[in-house]
Amino acid sequence: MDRRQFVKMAAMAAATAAARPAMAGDKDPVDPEARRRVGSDVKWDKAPCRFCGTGCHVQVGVREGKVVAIAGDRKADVNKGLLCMKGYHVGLALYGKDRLTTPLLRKNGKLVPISWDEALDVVASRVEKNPAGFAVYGSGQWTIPEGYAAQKFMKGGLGCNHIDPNARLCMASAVTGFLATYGVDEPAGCYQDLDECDVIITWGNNPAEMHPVLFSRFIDRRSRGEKITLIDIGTRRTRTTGFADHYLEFKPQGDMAILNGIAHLLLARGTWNKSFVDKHCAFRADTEPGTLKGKAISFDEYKAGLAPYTPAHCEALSGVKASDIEMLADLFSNPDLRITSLWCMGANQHTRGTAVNTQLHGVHLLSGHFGRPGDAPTSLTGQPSACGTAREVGTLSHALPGGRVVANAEHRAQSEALWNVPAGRIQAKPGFHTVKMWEEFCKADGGVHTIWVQVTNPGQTLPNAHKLFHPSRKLDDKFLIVSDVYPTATTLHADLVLPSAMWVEKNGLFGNSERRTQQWFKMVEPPGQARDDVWQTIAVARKLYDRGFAGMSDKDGKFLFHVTDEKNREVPVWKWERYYDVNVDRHLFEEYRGFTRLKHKDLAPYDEYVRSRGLRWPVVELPGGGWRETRFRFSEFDDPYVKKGANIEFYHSTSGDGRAQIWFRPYEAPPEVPDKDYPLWLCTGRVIEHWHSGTMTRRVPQLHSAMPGAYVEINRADASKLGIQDGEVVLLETRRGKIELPAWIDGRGAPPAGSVFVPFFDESKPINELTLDAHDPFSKQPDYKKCAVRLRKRPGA
Amino acid sequence: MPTFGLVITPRPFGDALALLAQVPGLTLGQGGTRVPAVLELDSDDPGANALDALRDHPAVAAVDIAFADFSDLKEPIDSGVFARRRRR
Ligand code: SF4
Repeated sequence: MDRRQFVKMAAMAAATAAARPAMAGDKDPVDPEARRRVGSDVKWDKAPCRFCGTGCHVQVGVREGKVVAIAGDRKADVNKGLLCMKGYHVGLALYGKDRLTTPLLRKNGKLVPISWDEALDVVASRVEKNPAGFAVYGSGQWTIPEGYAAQKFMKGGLGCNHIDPNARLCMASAVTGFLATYGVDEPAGCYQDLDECDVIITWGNNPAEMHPVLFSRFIDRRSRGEKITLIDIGTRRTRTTGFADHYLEFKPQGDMAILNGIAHLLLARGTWNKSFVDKHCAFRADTEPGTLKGKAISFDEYKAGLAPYTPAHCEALSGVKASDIEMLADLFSNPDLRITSLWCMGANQHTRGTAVNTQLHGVHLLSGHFGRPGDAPTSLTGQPSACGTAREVGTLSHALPGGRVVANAEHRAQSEALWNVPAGRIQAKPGFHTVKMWEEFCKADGGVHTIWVQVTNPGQTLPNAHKLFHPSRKLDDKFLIVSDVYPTATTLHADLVLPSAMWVEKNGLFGNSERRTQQWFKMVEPPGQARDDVWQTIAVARKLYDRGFAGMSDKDGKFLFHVTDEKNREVPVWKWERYYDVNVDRHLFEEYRGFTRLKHKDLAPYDEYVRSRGLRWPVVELPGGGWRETRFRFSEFDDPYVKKGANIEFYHSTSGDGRAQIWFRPYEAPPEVPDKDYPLWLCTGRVIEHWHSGTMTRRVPQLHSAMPGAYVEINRADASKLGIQDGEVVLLETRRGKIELPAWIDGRGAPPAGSVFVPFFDESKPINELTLDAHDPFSKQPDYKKCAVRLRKRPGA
Repeated sequence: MPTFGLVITPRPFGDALALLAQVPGLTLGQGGTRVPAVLELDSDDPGANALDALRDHPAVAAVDIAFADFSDLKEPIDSGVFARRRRR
């Protein structure tokens, strides 16, 4: 039998094992038959997938220092042995031939190789120039220790709050939505909701492509004959729509009207859940100027606010038929149904993202569809550790670890004590959020002189790039440092490039969409001189310490990243050759755990995550030993922090009485709408084949050939009006920029007449030169989903 | 030569499996509502294209991947996309 036949049999064995439901006694994460056929010289270990926020676990097969095989992890509750096409290619993504392997400094306009020591000196000098003007722009793809180290370096070391992650562009409105409603971030439910609900409503969300393994849970239930209704509410038909029982197409921003329409009908019909609301909810509305807490209002005021939102009025605002809004209200009126709402970028990348998020929670609370498995408002994350790192470690410019904020004196004091740094080190004023940080960087006299970018690609993903990215590159003394694994649209313009280790080339921990913290170990060496991002931060900190920079010492004069071995001897982890003498991730994670109790986001010791396929917080220690995760927060049957007999308790209530807040949010028009000059809507997003800006997935030939370049999806009616043929290159133009793209008519997605869609993965077609930087007033998250655009045949065509 | 271990959820109609059996390179295993399968591709056949085509096949509701082997890979991969990059 040749090797190919062996591999084929291994693949069939693994698929057969994954196709059947898990059985008691299934202990092996890779099917034993598949394992045997691949060969005993292949060593397997677990890791979460590098890509989306679903957080599937893969088994990584390594032979002779190289990743050679990938299998879905059968022991993983998230994906039960299955992966999507990106997950399969995650191993190949390590092996692009143009990996960055040496530090590069721009000299006379060209990036030239330098030593690590020289690179660290350059970064340290930029800090010393003026620490208050030094910023870090990080990522929801940072591992938890990477984000934690950067956070401590900036807020606890430099005393500078200018650190913000790209998660500002993807999840910030979900955060403010949870905070404004429950007083604490992140979903109450978990993926088990998808197994137990009767109805799934996707709100501007396309899980069939963006969270495919989660979506296949739904497909599986339906194909087993279970009755489960899918309602897709969106601005464009997608692969998700193909499986929907009802597709409700709304005008951009119309989601606000639909949600108010449902709440209006629940009240008008008297089918809201009075006993749930009386016991567990209070009402809230905006103040002028607005604050995240708003002001308390009475039930009658809430009802009066919703009075104008009749089905007919909401139809006029949203474009969704009144009868469909009534159908949604019928569902929410039925207490016997279990309804799961899913949303992601559609609700978050929205100039009223906080409002829409609170409205979504509000409809579930008002109807009592909350607190039972399958009955939950659940926001999904795009990135693998947007929750674990950006939200929980608190790498946002206003935040501190474990749900704390810099503006709160007590939180600052607690953080200073945990970091053992002098009182007053952490500044009370929030740093620059993403849009502001880049605005300041693009102004000659702006408050930021240097940005250190880690694990993200703002040169391609910042909105309105002609305003927020390109101008800085023409200013003297604006210095851009980028740590990354491949050349990107950002490294191309950087002053200093630092080569990073990727995924299983380093230790790591992620936190996925359902509060699940996941750990993995380094399995292979990074190429050339590529090094871990945690090490890079620590090594820069040490340079500063050695130069006498006071912020890099704690109160006892010890180095800020003082790491010891089991005999309590300091290990010089700032020296690369000593970095893996100890597990620095374990050290940082155990330190970070000290922050997590305050807001009941308790984490277990590091070694519990080594043993498991992730645990959902709060993870509490059991009286007899061992650790228990929590699937359903705020519900007495599962959450250990709910008082006995309370049934449901929102123990971080902003009104201080255990209640969640139901907000009244009026419909508001979008900041830019189509007009005679720019007559179409532009929406942007992802595709299944490519991860974000495509820097990893576009280097994989198979993924590249499946989706080689960006396009503009156009409705057939618009195309024929403009005389545009399928495949013809057209000119797309907004008030901020223009690009040329091939037209795709009746493509994978189908926008309605008057609307176009462009994916953002293609560096050569930088759609974010056209998008809008207008953002939500609370979350500061920009709106990538709607702006006005015109489309023309190419001049001379 | 990519080899994928797949889990296919066929659409619920009688001929779905018969239609799937005609897909080139696809070998179906025994299953219920989820069917294990192996997709073998020639070296010049773009793997993700074939997966995409399978996902859009009229008999298919969903395709998940359980296993992939790429131990034949000797050289670093190159899609050729980034060969001609330029600063703006
Ligand atoms: S669904 Fe997301 S986490 Fe799972 S394999 Fe695909 S990209 Fe990876």
